[in-house]
Amino acid sequence: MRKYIISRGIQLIIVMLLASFITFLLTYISPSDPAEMMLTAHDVIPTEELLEKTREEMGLNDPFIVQYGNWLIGVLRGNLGYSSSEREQVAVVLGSRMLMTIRLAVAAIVLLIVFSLSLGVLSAVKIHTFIDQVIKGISFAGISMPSFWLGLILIYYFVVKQRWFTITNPYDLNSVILPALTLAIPLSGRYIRQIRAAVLEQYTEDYVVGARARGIHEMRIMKKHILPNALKSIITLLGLSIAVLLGGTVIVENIFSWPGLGSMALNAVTYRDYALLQGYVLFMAFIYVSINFLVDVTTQLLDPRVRLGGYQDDV
Amino acid sequence: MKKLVSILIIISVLCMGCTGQSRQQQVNQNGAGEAAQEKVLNMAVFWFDSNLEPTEGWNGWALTRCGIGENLVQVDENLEFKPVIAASYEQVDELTTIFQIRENVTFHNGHVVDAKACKASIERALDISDRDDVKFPVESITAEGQTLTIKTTIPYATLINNLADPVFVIVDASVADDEQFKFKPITTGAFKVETFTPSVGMTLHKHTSHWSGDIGVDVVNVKYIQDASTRTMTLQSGEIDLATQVSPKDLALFENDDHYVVQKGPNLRVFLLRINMDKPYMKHLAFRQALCYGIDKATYASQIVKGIPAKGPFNDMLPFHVKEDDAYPYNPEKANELLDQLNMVDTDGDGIREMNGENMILTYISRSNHGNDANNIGMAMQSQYREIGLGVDIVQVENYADIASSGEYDLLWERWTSAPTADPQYFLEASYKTDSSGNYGHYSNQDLDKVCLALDKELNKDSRHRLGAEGAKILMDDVASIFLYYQEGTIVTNKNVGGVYRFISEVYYIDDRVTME
Repeated sequence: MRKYIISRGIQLIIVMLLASFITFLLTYISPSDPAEMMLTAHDVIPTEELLEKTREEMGLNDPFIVQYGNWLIGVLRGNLGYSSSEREQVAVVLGSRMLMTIRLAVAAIVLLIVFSLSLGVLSAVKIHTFIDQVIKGISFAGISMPSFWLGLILIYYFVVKQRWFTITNPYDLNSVILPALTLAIPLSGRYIRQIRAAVLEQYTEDYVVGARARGIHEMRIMKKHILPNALKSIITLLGLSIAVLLGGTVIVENIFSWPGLGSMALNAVTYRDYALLQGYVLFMAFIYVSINFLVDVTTQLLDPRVRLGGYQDDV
Repeated sequence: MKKLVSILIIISVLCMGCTGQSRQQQVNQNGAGEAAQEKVLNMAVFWFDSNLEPTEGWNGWALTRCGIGENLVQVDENLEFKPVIAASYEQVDELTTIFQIRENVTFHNGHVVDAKACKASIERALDISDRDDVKFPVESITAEGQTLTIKTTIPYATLINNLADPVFVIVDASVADDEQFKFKPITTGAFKVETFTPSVGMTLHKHTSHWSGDIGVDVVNVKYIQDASTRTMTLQSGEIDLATQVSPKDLALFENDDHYVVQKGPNLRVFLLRINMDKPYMKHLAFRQALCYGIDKATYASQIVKGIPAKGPFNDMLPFHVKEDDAYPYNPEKANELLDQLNMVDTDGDGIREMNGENMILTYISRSNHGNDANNIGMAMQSQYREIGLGVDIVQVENYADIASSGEYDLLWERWTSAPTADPQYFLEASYKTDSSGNYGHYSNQDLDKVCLALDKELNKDSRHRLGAEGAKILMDDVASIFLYYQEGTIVTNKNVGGVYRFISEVYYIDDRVTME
């Protein structure tokens, strides 16, 4: 286990370095000028002198490797740099946005698990019935719905028409529900089908047939045997979804004026805010590697046959 | 299973709680739970900077728009100068202006505002602001009691205009070194900042000692809502009482509803196509005129962008606009006639005219962050120019400045705030004067240069306006650019909100006059 954690730690550093380098390179070779982007955001047609001054201030006149090196040295010293678009330390911006993203992601994940688990299991249990057909329809609709459309429909019905929810105060629990639903519904569509398939697969296993033959109650079989085994297969998928949600969701955040990482990343790209973009990439690399690690560990806990680093043959 | 559900609920509740607002808003949404008779205004804005330090970039706009900051002098809704912190002012000679500061003005922290405090605030802005465009050449600033005297090194016609810029919001410079100042600046306006969260909004409480007397609103919750559709829907739901820049497409929802008051009209943004004068064919006035005659600007404005068709750089609300009708209304026959006169004819039957054997295909450049409007107008022009035998290549770029300086274009989409300080000089000079920095198309016109030179020296406001109109007419007649449309500014309020005015500059949304029933 210790060896595995060390190797994962090394992997994390490599991934973060590579991701930051590639992002830096792509931003550098893109034809846009961060200084110009920043100035024109305010309807100023910048003069060449002002552009030059801004470039100098932003450190854009240095060669690529010097810029990257300076940034990397700063990171190693614990300084992620200064955001030119937010006029604030990157760490401060990331910190405040991260809290809001976590808030939304947790709500979305809870809803996602509740919806997909209940409907997925029900669909499998009621296979080939009207209920199964309805749930399949819901699942397809969920997958097919674009987030922006769903978000606007939810706002229109629940905020404008019914006035059950508000959306302008992200600190209010009432304002979290709709964006969380907007994120959870399309994801649930995918998970319902996965869970249904996994449960149906377990249904035909010998140990389930044996348990039924021994007269064990159906609910007990479901809870003790089928579900734990079925869930193993979607842990990886869930891990990826969590990582995506923790990265912030641009469209939903924009529609709901949610001040999370997604809208921050979009602004960072729009204004070519190198420092903020790099900070975001580092954070995302860390999240993805960490989530993968957690998924591996969880999978092993659920299935002792799995060894971290690969399957062990059952000989 | 029960355990799993319980764990999920506990985790979610903990997360909701632990990421709660650091500084709880004092006032609930829609007045729920508020103190008796407390008047709460919820307003939505579409733009917020990361802090409220007025000397940084355009951050001061949030202060002026929300009634937090005030200047010595401001430009009112009728584009007239209005003394605010200064009760009066007088230009005693071409270098010296004397301001009499109001007697009963206090900062939000209770400190008295006198000439010395104003001097400190203005000097601070001149010293640390990154907005060189609004700075002025100072010989001296002296303060004596309530009398503030500003002396410039040269005659400076736009001193008052510049002092009206949000950069020069009067702040308590004695406490400006505090690190919290940029989030809770100490100013003089009708409302003071209680909480400010970048990217979320701010809570404002009324300044109980405001010089104008009692303010008609106790609390203002300013919400940052970037998406126009969301702003519309929060207005409809009653969550918001006032919203700005409501999408023109959504305005009908409110215009036909007695519960709302809609104010709209041109703002200071003008959208234009800069012409590359280095191209040989663009040197012919007739060709440029044909370009204007060949497009139906009125339809573009009304159908594509819901704006106001432009005939020159300044809209009709500005006192220095072009008084005459558009010199080149849509007239494809006239365009064809002019192109024929220039011997641009289609010899190979492909529908595109030629010049020196080359097909006349114009390159139309817009920036990718200009959105769909620039592209849609480009496509409409492509279609209409085809009818007069001209081709158009529409290109969206990110390295706009590079393209502009390289000259690899015929038409360059631009968006300008044409008179940010309610004066014509800035735009005429920065954008069209020979060899000026913003004159990417290398336009040169001796008559316009003379107007710019005259504006440099002219101190009389009416004469400046006359010169501005003269310059605007030169640009229109000479087709220095294709002036497409003016943006329409909108402000929508619930009917229970009063004292809200639409400022053409959009520097202000609410001030001490705002009331709520």
